[in-house]
Amino acid sequence: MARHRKTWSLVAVTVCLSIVLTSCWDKLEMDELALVSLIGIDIDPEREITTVYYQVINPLSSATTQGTPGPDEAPVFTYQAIGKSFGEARMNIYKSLSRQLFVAHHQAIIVSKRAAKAGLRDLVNFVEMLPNSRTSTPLLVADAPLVQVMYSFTPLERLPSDAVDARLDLLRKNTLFVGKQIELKHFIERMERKTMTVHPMISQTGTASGNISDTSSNIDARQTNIFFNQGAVFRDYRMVGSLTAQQMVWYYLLEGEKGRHTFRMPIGGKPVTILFKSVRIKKKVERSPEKPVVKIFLDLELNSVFSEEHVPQTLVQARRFEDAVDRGIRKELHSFYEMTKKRNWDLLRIGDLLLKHGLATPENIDTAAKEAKVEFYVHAKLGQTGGMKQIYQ
Amino acid sequence: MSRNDRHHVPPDLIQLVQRQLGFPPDLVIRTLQFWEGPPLQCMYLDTMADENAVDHYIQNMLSEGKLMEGAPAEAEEHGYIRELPFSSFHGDWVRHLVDAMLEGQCVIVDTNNERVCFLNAVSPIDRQTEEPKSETIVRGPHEGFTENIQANISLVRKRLKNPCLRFEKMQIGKQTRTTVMLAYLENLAPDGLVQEARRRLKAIRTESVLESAYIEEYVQDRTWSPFSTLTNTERPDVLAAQLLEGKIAILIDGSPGALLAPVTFWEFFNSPEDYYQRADIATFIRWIRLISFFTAVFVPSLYVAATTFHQELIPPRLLISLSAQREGVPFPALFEVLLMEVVFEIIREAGLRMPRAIGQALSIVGAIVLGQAAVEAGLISAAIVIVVSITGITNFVVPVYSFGTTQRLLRFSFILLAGFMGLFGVLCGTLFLAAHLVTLKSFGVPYLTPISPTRKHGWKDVLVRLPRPHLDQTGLGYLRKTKYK
Repeated sequence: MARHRKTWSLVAVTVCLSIVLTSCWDKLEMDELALVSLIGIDIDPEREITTVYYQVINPLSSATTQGTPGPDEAPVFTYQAIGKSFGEARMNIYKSLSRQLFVAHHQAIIVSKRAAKAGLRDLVNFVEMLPNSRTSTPLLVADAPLVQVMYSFTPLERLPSDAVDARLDLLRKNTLFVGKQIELKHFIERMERKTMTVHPMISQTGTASGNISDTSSNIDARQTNIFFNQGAVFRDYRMVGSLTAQQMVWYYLLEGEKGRHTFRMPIGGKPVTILFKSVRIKKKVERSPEKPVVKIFLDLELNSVFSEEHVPQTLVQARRFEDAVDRGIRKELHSFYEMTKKRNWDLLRIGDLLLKHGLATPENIDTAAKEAKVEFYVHAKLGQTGGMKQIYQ
Repeated sequence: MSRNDRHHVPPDLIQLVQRQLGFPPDLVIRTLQFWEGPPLQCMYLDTMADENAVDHYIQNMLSEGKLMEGAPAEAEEHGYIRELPFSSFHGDWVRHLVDAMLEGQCVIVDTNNERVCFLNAVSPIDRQTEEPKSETIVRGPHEGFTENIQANISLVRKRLKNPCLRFEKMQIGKQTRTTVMLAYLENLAPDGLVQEARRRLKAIRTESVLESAYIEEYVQDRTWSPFSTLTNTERPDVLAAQLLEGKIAILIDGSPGALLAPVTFWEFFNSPEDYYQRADIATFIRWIRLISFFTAVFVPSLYVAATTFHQELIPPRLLISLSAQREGVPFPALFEVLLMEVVFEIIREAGLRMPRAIGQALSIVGAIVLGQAAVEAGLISAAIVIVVSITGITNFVVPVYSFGTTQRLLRFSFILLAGFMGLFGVLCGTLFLAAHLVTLKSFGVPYLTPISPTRKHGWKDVLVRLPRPHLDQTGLGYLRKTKYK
């Protein structure tokens, strides 16, 4: 009996103590939440005004207990909050928003170009300070005015965030325009390690439309669409320049991304389309009396499935094909490296490599990186060919 | 009182018997006159005894002169002509005759010679053996116990032609004097287990025993627990299989359900069919049952916790869909789930009690109330219907019906915990449940055996069912290592 009394006393005490648990008061029904799918950040450095855009999903655009929505029901609403700081802007949102912000499932953060150039340190601090913050979302830079991006619908995908997310995923799988390390957490890591990073830039085609009917009733997908065209280069939390789409490919190839890429290059005097896939990258540092030499070895797998201009017929032709690709890509990599060197961008992270091998100190890392000799060794191997042996002449 | 003590027949025996029974209208007293001898009194209750059988006996006696030639020597010594395989009586004449008549026997009293003859004329009013409704299987025997304990014993003996099979008879219930049999295999059941079962049965002090549940509540290890420490079966094949594992069984007259002990938590997921089909299929189905158990207990609470406290856990697309479904619903998720679960329980209970003819109508009403109408009326969200339906169906996957009730109790507790404290509450509840389970014992066997405490040889037939040649050939399992004081 005494044992039972003790057990029940323990249960009673546990139940009483549970009242002080914060979770008891955290109850929030789903219909009280504003599900944010996309966040936009704009900072006006001159007026010191921070504008935050929240693209909130409209639950009534999905099938509800009241029935299926009409085709004109907007899938998202974009709310704008202005303040002197991120915290102020966040609180000001409730002047126009009737539900509790729920940002745990946002799919991307888009910052305006001027905000990126002004620096994203405050944004990072704000996100990291929030108790339920999430940094595993892509960080993108808007090449177009942010207002346009945030206030326009996209074709095919009802939610613009889905369009962004799906496109990033497809680009990552099929091209070398986008890498894996583009999330906010990667940005923070790179910035804290004093290394440079590149994030995709998003642009707008046609005229932005906030009317879903305009998007859904127009055959021309260019009218209201967003696309990825460039890469924003960041150093010390600030955007310091941009890369073209082709430069992005060489950047990600040297970053060790395992994606594949198709491009046209001159082989044997005529342009040929090749598809290559990065297999392995190895960086080696050699000490020399004059200056250190960084050797970058790249193994690529070639595929001639898109080579409608020329298909190697014999083993000798295949070797020649491979050699030509080696030379062509080496040349492109070299010119890319020269471009970065000229702009004082250590995108290949040569400085880190030299530091690791004791050939540079934290003080002279930039100079050492710039002075080092970089050599590229590309080894492409024709792995697969297309379905035809010989093209139609 | 010694065995040879002789009790004299009271001169007013007939009147005493009548008075004891309260002069019932179904009491028949016939006077039989054989030749010049003293008359015999024949008594029986015509509602309990088969009159044709009585007449047949009497006719035989007359033609064969059985009574006139005297009884066998042994019977003469005790003063009876023993026709029935009954234990001898050394007590009160009146009480003994009344008991016999209440069992449906016909009593012939020779007051002059102080002899009595019991004729087995019990009216065969028992139902036929049929498959138990709550333990149906596809492959395997389809026989089930009936309310007649004698028939039930014969069904067990038919399967266990073993001289070590023991039945110990007891009468429990001051008013009902119900026959209860403790059954076990002497060569397999641990002595300690048998003694413990015997002790618990003998300690029962109750007015009545009308069903096995009456006994279960007296002999179970823990009263205040949702988990049963005995299981019951209406299948003779299951009972035989359990006896072969060294367990004890308790058969109760008037009830088709026999109690089995000890039992472990994992045995509630075993079905007799597991052993009538291939091991791989049995293992797969066993896992389905385990998944169903966790679904039935935890899915509604996890739904409540995730949708009201931890929306971050829900994948974005699902969250959007669920959020859309909740638009316009007036109740919080906790209340929605509780409401639907209670409605489901009401419909289920009504379905059990109501005549079969209108059962179909109930199903239609239930489907409409639980389904489309409630959603369209905006009272509940569609997801709740799915959650309640899934849990409702999975609740019936477990082969032991009583364990389904346990699941329901646990489910409601977890829903409340989730509604007040979210996942923290569910976790606390789970820990509390785990602590409770590890402290529970069934007739000395820890409830989570052989997982905790670990009995590796028992693992062959818990989460997986190995092929028969790989199983423990003695069949004793965890009982082999159970120590009884």
